[in-house]
Amino acid sequence: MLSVSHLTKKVSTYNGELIILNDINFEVEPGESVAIVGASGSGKSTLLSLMAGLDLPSSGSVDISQQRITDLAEDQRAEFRANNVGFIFQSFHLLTTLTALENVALPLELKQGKSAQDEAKKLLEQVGLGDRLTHYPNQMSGGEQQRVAIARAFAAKPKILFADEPTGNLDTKTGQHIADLLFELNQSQGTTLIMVTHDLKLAGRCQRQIELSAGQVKNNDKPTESNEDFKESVNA
Amino acid sequence: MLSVSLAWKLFWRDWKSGELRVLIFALWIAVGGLTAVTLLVDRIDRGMTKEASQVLGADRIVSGPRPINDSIKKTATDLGLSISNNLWFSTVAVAGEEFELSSIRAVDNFFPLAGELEIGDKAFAEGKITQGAPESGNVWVSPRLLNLLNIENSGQIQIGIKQFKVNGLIIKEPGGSSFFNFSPTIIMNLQDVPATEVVQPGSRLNYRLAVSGEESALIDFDEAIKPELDNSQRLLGATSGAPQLGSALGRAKNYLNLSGVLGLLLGGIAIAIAANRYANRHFDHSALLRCMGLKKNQVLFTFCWVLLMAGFSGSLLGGITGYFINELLVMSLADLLPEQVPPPNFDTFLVNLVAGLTVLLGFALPALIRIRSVQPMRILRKDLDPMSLSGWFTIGTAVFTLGVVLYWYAKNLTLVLAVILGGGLLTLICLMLSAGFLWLAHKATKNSSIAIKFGVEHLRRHRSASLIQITAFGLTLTLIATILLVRNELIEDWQAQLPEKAPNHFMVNIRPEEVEPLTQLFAEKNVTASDVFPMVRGRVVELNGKDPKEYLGEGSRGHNSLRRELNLTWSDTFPEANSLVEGEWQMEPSAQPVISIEDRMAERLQLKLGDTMTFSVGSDRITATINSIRKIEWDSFQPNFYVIFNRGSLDQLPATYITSFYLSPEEKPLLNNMVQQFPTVSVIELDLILTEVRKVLEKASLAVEIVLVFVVLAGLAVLFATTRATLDEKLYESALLKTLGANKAFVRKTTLVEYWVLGVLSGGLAAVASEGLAYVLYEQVFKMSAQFHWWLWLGAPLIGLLLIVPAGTLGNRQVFSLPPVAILNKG
Repeated sequence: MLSVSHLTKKVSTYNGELIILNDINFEVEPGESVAIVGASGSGKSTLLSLMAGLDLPSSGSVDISQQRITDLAEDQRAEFRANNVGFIFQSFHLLTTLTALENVALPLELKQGKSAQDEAKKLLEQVGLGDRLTHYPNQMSGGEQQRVAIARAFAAKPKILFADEPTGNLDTKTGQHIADLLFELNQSQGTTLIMVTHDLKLAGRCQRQIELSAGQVKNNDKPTESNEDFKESVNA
Repeated sequence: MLSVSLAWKLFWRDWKSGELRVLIFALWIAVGGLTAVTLLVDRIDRGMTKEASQVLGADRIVSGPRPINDSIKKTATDLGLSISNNLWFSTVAVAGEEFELSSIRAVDNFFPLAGELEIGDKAFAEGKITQGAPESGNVWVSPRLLNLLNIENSGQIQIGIKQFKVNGLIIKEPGGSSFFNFSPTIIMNLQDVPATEVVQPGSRLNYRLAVSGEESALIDFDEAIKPELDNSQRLLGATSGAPQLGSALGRAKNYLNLSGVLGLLLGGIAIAIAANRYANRHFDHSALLRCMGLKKNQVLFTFCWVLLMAGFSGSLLGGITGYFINELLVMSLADLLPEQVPPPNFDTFLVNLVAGLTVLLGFALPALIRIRSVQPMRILRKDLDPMSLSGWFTIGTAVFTLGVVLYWYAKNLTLVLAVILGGGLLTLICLMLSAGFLWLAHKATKNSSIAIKFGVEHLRRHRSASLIQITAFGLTLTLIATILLVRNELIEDWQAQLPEKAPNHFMVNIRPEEVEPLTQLFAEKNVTASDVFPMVRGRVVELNGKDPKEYLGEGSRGHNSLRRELNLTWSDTFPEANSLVEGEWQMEPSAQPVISIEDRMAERLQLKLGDTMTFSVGSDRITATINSIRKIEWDSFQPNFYVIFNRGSLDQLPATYITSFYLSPEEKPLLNNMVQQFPTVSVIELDLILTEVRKVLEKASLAVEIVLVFVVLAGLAVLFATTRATLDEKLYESALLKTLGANKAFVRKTTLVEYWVLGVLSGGLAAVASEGLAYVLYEQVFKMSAQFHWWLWLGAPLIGLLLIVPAGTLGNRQVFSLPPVAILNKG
């Protein structure tokens, strides 16, 4: 599904060249859920942006469904994202001027070029916001906004979903609900999930954890018993 | 002190990080444009006044029937002004058997103080520019005097009891031709006057002190001598002395003032938008400072200082840039600008700096007050925006500041009120119409492509931001359109006032029997001439049967017509350049005198329809009833009369006739024919003064065009500031859209749609508003009749598109190129 090989990202600073990611290699299977963990500054978000085609690496490549996205031009990558990729962010990143319904419909409309309010409505009902369709983001709580963001992420039926600290801005209880919703939808739609998080408990709900340290993969764990147990206990 | 040192650190940090860039840029453009405009306006204005003074022959003239007090002369010399003593009077010049009433100009060696005195050997040929008086015993004379007296150049003439040798012909003299000076001119040396023995007790004399020098010294001079002048003495300025130039110059100055004011208004808008953006981006800073223990007012003062530092940098930068642009303009336009461009005035430079800072504080104050009211809690809860201020307070502060600064510049309350009321009205119209238009656009694009829908929806959703943008763009376009309108019509009006073949010669003292052959001569030679009017000289002696002084009461200024003889005429037809104000023009030919008088004369002499005026004409007294009141365009260069009688009422009096006609330079020799054929007729050559008037008008038009360029630049600064103000949000949205799969073309298209809609809406609004504003300006300020401009309704939206779409695209170019990864950097 996703293959990262020899991925390196360097940036120039006043003090010379800074290596953010150094020769990263791993693969993710279709439908797999992977958590990328690591200390602040370890390169997690940079890795996410390269995998999603939001940025280009200094060297190395990223392939999603046999498509080498690191070779694509910006507009081609945008089209690829529209058809294959969904996002969930820590700060939700909803367009404040659009209603919940319009925010969810947006990726569908970008993909299809026509109104997609019916599909969006269904998704919002699925995340429990059927009665908040015409509300604007500033009229919603953080948890509600993240639920809209999740509905938006799944709207275009992406093959792969990238989540950047999806519960980072939420209290523990709300965070837990959001995580449940995320894993639920992920499973029901068979989407591949790649999640950047600090939260080890949340990371533990993924099938695999890739730990980054100083721009390199320190640990690439296969699924463990405890993870499976945890997942089962949550889903039970 | 804490505030200042903290402010300095903040200022320095914001400067380095580019936070203040937009604000400083807005100030730079606003003050730069303003400085360039006002310096240029001030210099052209002073240059034009200077040029007008060349027509008058000096910057100021003090004139009166008695010698000018020595104290006045001392005041002038003490102020460093140059003076020249002149004595004007009329007397008969004699040569053999011939004699002719002539205007004598006895001058000293400092004559003329301004303008050119050209003396030659042959009539209507080029002469030599001369300074000073003729040598004692010599005179220079109008060429036609030679014909009238039947002598040659270098012949002898007698004035009083003294013989003089003619040793030059006057080709051009400053302050020479006057409508009321029908006799030929003789220039003689002031020292020779006593020897003529013409000046006797009771002689009618005009003592004239010509004064010239620095503008500031002239203003002091005016102030100092006004109390010293008695009722019979007059102070003539550059404009009051040459009434033909007065109204054209007055309009040019009004226009230039208006342009300066509009430039400033645009600057204010740009500053307000930039300051608001700065404040909005510093709410977190303010919360942090409050958390660290700063009091509300300390926060306010700190940010006030930061803004002042930014304001000073921007204004100074603008002032210096404006100064150099102005120098560059003056250098590159040297051939076209008034011949003597005075140096830039340092005061103007300082005034602009202060104005920049005042406008900054006035427009930024509401934003600063919001910074002050940020709660420390915001540090924990970002969504805690400071309370928003009452719209009235924000608008009130801005309008008050604007009013003060506008008045400071324009010194014309009507103009300031027109601009503010026009602006207020425009804002209201903008708010209502743009809300309606946005709703319509939303409905119309409901089934359009997603990019168009998204662009229009973006404007509709950001309702308040869109309304502010449309108002700002609309106002900018309105100002540009108003200036274009006013400029076009001012110039057209000036040209209409001085058509190509405006009469440039007057012919007076035509005897009744000469009227017929003269009209025939004009027809034969294809000369364009006005009607021929009879003329009788008379003096006003009674108003409603009372002595004018008694009738008008003590302290009344009276009217010029009481101080000199008037040219009275009679006519059946209503003269050109006259319009009826009151009463009936129809005046039946009858021996019972009825008259039509000029409106300002009626006002000054407190006369109305049905009142009577008594004139003394030679030994006769004629009392006439006022039948109508007329308005006269004195600039028209046609024979114009304060008083017109009905035909038949002046029949018993000896009349001569007057006419005006046009001669091209090539036709000038025809004058010799005319003078030979009608030797007693006097010709007044106005072509020289007309050339001067036309020159001044052409330069005024040029100034108008230069100023327009600056106002357009200031307008573009507003567009740029507005674009920058919404840039952060646009960058964010663009990154998010790209992350969700939108391509560059989509982002570009949505942005273009927004600016297309903005351009068309603001252009449409500008058409409505500028038509209204121009109407008020024409009627109230320029005193011209307003017109409807169909081209404006097509042109304004088009100009809106042409200015706003490229400016928006340019200002947003980062939006198109920003990689979507930026969204992740925002968390």
